[in-house]
Amino acid sequence: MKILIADDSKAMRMIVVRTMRQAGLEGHKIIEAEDGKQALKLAQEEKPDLILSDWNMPEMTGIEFLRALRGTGSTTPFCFVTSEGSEEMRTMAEQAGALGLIAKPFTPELFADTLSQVVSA
Amino acid sequence: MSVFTDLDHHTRADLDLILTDVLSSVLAEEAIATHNQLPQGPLAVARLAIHDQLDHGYAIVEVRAGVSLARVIAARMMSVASPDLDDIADAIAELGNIAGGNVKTLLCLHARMSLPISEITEQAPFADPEPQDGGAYVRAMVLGHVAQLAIRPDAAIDGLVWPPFTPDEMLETSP
Repeated sequence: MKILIADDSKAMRMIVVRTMRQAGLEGHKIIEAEDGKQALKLAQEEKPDLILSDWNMPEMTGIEFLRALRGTGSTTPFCFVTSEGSEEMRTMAEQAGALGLIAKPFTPELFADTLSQVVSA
Repeated sequence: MSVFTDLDHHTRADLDLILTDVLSSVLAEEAIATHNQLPQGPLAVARLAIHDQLDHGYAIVEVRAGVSLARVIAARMMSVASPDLDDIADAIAELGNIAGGNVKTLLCLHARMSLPISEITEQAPFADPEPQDGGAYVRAMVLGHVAQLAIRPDAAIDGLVWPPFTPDEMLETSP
């Protein structure tokens, strides 16, 4: 399985990879993007099986990335991993076609609960 | 007066919880609220702004930690033994980003948040017990080090970068 992780923080991309491992969701090919624009390009070129994206990013935000991706017809499972977990953002994410929003700080259990439907261990 | 000023006791307790949760999460160590002072010497600082779009108020959210603690945070976050200055800057910025996002969720119904910036500085920390601008700070101790989370209403937001903003109605009609 190929997973695209989009976050402008290298530290957070590494934490996401580590947390997936701790959640038992390991052994997958990881590709990384530093902003939404780069992520959209990679999503179209690499055709990942799952996208984990930050919300607040330079160039293109996560919600813009998701809407642009869905605009191309892509149905790739998409989950936000972001520091903001308000009901407003969860609603926006759901309406735009995200499968969920994992708010930081997070736990491996939360990753497993949210992603187990689309990621095999 | 805005959502960021004159925070009550319960909200300050929630800020304590945010700071201890964030530190505990990234370090996998217990963090506890404290009134101890920040260490002397250079501090790693992350700073971002929140713009409350209902009352049009701004606040700076700032996380500070001694460079020694920031180095440990970077090492744990990035799984490296000897993080360089870029790693430390990235790690403290992300720590500020997580804390800022949680502060925004706590205090605001409809708000925007800037991207975080970070630096190593000797500038004195925000620590006035009765700040004129109605701001607040909390501190936590982890691994024997103290970190501080401060909210500074009306502080200068110069130099901060905001993520792109596209109104929902424009996005929803995009192809």
